Amino acid sequence: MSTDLLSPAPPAPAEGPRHRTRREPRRVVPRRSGDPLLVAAVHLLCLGLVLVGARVEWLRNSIRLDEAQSLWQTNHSYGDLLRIIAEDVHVPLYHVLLRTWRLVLGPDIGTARTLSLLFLLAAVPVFYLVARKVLSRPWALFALVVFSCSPFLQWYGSEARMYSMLVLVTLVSQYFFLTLITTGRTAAWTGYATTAVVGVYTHYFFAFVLLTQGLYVLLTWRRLPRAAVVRMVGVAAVVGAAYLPWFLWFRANGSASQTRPNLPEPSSVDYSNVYSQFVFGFQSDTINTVLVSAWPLLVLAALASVRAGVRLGRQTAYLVAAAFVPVLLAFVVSHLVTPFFLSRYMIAALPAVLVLLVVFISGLSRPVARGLAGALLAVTVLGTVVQATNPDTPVTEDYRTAAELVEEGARPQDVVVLSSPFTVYPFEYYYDGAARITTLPVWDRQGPAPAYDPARLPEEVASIAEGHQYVYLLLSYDQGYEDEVLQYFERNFEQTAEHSPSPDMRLLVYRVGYSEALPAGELEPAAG
Amino acid sequence: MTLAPGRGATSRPDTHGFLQYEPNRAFLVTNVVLAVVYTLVISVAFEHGNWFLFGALLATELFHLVQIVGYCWTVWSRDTARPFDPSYAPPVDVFITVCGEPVDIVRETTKAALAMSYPVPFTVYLLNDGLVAGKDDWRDIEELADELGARCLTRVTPGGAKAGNINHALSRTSSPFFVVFDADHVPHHDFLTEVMGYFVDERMGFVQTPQFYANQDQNRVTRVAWDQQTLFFGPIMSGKSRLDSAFMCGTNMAVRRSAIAEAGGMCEFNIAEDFLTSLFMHERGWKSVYVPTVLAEGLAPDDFLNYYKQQFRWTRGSLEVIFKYNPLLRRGLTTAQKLQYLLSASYYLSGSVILLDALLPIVFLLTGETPIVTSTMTLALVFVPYMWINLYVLQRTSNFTYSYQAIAFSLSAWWLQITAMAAVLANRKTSFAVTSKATHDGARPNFLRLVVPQLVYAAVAAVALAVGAAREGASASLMANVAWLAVHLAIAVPFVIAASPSRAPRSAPLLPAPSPAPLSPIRRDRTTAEPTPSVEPALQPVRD
Repeated sequence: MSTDLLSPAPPAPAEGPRHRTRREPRRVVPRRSGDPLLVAAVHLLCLGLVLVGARVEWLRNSIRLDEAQSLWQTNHSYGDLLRIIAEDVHVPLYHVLLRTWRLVLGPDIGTARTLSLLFLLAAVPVFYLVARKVLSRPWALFALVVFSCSPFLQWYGSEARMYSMLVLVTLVSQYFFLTLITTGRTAAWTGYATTAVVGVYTHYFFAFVLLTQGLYVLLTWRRLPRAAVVRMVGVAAVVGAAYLPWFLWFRANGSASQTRPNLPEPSSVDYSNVYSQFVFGFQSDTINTVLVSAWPLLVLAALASVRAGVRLGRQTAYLVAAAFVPVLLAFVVSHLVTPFFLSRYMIAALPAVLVLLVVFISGLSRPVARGLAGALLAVTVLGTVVQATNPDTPVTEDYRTAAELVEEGARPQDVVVLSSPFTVYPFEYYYDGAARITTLPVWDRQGPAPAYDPARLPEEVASIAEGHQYVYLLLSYDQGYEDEVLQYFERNFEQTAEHSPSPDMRLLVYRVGYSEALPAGELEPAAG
Repeated sequence: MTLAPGRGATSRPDTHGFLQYEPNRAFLVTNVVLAVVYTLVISVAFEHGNWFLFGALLATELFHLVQIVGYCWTVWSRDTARPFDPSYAPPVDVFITVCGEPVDIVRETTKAALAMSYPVPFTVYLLNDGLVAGKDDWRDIEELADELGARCLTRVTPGGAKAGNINHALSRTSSPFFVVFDADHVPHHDFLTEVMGYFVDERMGFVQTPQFYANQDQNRVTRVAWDQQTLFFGPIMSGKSRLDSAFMCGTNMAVRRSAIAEAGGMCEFNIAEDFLTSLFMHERGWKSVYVPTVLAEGLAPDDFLNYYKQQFRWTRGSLEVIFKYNPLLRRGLTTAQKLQYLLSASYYLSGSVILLDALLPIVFLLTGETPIVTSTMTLALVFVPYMWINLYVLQRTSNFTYSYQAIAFSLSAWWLQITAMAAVLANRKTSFAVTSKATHDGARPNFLRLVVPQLVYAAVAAVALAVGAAREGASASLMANVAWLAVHLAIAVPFVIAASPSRAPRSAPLLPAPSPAPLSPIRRDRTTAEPTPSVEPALQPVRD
């Protein structure tokens, strides 16, 4: 008698049956899709799309708060810049590059935005390389077109901030990572380690990219090339050593304890909005509500993704992790430690989301795949157009219009009050009027912005109003006390005009002094 | 190796992939944890809306939870080691059950059975029920037996259907073991040598092997039938075997005569006779084992009606087991066996659960009533990960052989399951007004009458949508419920398409239909099997 194993030994991968190959989904293969000229042409098209999108955004968009801060910060010497950045909630690489860029090419916002645009343009071919890891060439080209039209990327490709750089570095990191988990080549590890160091100096949230990769290696080490875990530990050591100087410098400068933005704890709506904005861009509440409420369709997508013979490959599995784990980690940490959940911080997850969308579509039957691909592209383009043209686009910050309105109406005997205080940066960028500018709470700009103290509000308002005729109160970037400031002015002064240059931005005019007649050319009351 | 009818040597379907499952317990645990979390959140964390709807929702979620936990428990690991002696070769009889199948099909099966290798001589019997079933060709089977050197046992007294046929044969044979093949299940030459060695264990009652559909690429129905099959004969039966709960599936099995005699013979009073006979054998302490190797190849139901009838029979038989022979109340079974039998049979209660789920968005659109009151995105945050891990576990455990179409067919069978339950509760027979009209030009016959409930659901959904839109406008709740409606309707699409007629294709199909196809509906039922998950998969179906 012998003991027999009921389970037959699994065949070696090279010899085993290829499950259901006869039923593998057919791919939509455009004619000559493998032609290098076609690949180059699609790349050129995509670069053109990015350029056109950036041009549209630049023409339309006022400088935003964060951009103004970046400009202000990079106006300082390199030494001061490192100190200021250490006091802020960012890492220094982008700002060092931006300062250099501006010193060479010019100080204006357009020049600064060009740097971000370059990062996004550079990301185009890298995205294609990443997509090719899991997609056929035609589908990777299609994904590239979607990437180039993405409203979220268009937005941050034209903003003078580090987010398009974060996308680029993330994509490079993912390219090396996807290579090393299949080949284990030393060159890939070298590139990966280098990118990791660059990444942690680009944005703090790049740590979530690395963490996801580390978790992936830990969970799948048996299927990875030999010594992958050891090499990963080595990369972690290199990154740690490279980051240590900045960490010490950061601690020595107060760990940004005074400049952290006051963000609320994220809700389930915030979580879903991240992915909604990734795909559809920044949309008005009405549009966004309709879009995210259709989430049960994800159930259908999940069901449709159950396909015989279609396995989740190693590289696709990593992209699934890259699309969801960083956002999930940020969500959890925001609840457990401190809230810092903003969709732009998660932008590193966006390329993986787009690739996964196309992976999903490409596996469906040909007519369905074609239909959904068309729908995805249409939605992406439409999202970009609506984001650029809809006056209710929520993240628009139109300090340019606000400054123009104030310049038209304010005289030397009036005063401009900005709340929150740090909005002084974008406002000043455009403002060249006669009235003096101050902030609420009052900030001398020598140190971090002061905390709001409701007990001091009457005193501060009284000192501001004293000797002035009109207060031009610009409320934007609510830090939790905007409504209290507004109510105080409403209770104590006569409102003579109100404007809303962009969503979540209000310009109100109050009469605080009665020593002379109304000025000519006063702002139209209660205009939109 | 003998190929089943309709198969070409160059287009063999994969006979191994669905059997290669290796459990990944991390995913199984995650699946259960997320299912528990989701159910708890639904039950406790959210504000309750309409209490009746909340009760209905809670009942459906608890059903899903039980099925998921049961499924993960079943596939937790597979049966790995059993006593097996390759030199053990007791006398055995080979039964091929026949009831009007085309002679060519029976010929191929008989020839393959006669060609099986085995150290000792054995006899092949054609259990001919053609006479009692009123089939015209019953004499042809007797002639075939004479021609091939098999023996024919033709019943003259009806009763007990297939079980009666086997019992009749047992009364006229004497070997201590017998194997059973349906007329269209062609055994491999090594069937006996791969199976009989397990009977070296003196308490081994029966050995079951997979039912493999060689015609799986013939059309949509055969594909779906096979996709559903893979889950059952892949991880589920392997897991059941580990728990000594593998049951007979009607064909491709070997049985110890003394064991079935102790159980009272094949059960003739239940439509799922194999399932119930297995239960009786387990109850008396007999063991069973499932051998995860394809050792015979058969045919799947090749049109929608046959598929529908097959499903109905399994459903009815399983539900009868629950209501008349409740496994929990059987004394001789181990706890694991009781639960495994119950899980298998209770799968077919899911029709009511699916209908309840499908009605919730309609109720909201018509009345504004909801079972729970919460942000739709909060619900998404707990439901979507749960749903995705569920489906991934389903895919992984089936070794990526399961398909959306298989799920869609399973979820769309709610009306079938509800009517079967009604028939069981009312203790009445059920007949089908539709007949299977063979089309010989490759066209698909019209079986739309069988999917009228799905079409009615679509119509009601349209009305509800209009009512809801008029009342709500483009609210978040409306959008979410409309999306749910879209999900339920989309799931029904493959089912309805399979039932709808089509014209003949312009060119010949790649795989010709197996020769003279039409088996009698009753017999064809025996040649196939299926499983099925619900959206929250829970797959413990009973097979034929």
